Amino acid sequence: MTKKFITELKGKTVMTNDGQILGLIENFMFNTETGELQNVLVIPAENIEPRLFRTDTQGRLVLPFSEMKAVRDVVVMDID
Amino acid sequence: MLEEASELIGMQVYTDKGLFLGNINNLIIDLDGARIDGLFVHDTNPMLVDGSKAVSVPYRWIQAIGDVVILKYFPKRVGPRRK
Repeated sequence: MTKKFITELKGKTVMTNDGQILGLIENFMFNTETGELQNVLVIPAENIEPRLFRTDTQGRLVLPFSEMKAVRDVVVMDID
Repeated sequence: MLEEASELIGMQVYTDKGLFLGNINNLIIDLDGARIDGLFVHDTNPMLVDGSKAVSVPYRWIQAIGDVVILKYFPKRVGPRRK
C-alpha cells in the first residue's frame, strides 16, 4: 500500500500516458464523510486547452483521482 | 460533501472528550485505496500523547468536520510501544 503526504504531491507535474504535460497538482477534492479522494485539481499548462477538460470556477482541471496511475517524479494520468 | 483537501490543513482537532489534540499539519493519503488515510497532527497535547509526539489519526476516527475536527474516538493516552 503506497502512502504519501499530500504536501509531497502538490506541485508535481501531471502527464497523460502519451507524455503530454497537463499541468501541476494544486489540490484534491475529497468526500468529508468517507475520506475518499474524488478529484485531482490541476493548474493547466500553457499549451493545454482547458475547454477539452472539466474545469472548476478557478479554471483548474478537475481530473478523476481514479485515473492517477503512476506517482513517482511525475504523476501519470490514464486519460484517453 | 466534497471539500478541498487543503481546507483541513491547519484545522484544530478535538477528541470526543473535548480535549484539544493539536492542529492538522499534513494529510496522509493512500494512493491505491484513493482515500485519505490519516490526519497528521504534530505538537500534540502532552496530556494525550507522551512527549507531544506527532501522530497520524485514522480517518475513520473522525466524527465531524466543520470549523474544527471532532473525533469520535481517541485513546486515553498514547505512549511508547510496550515490548
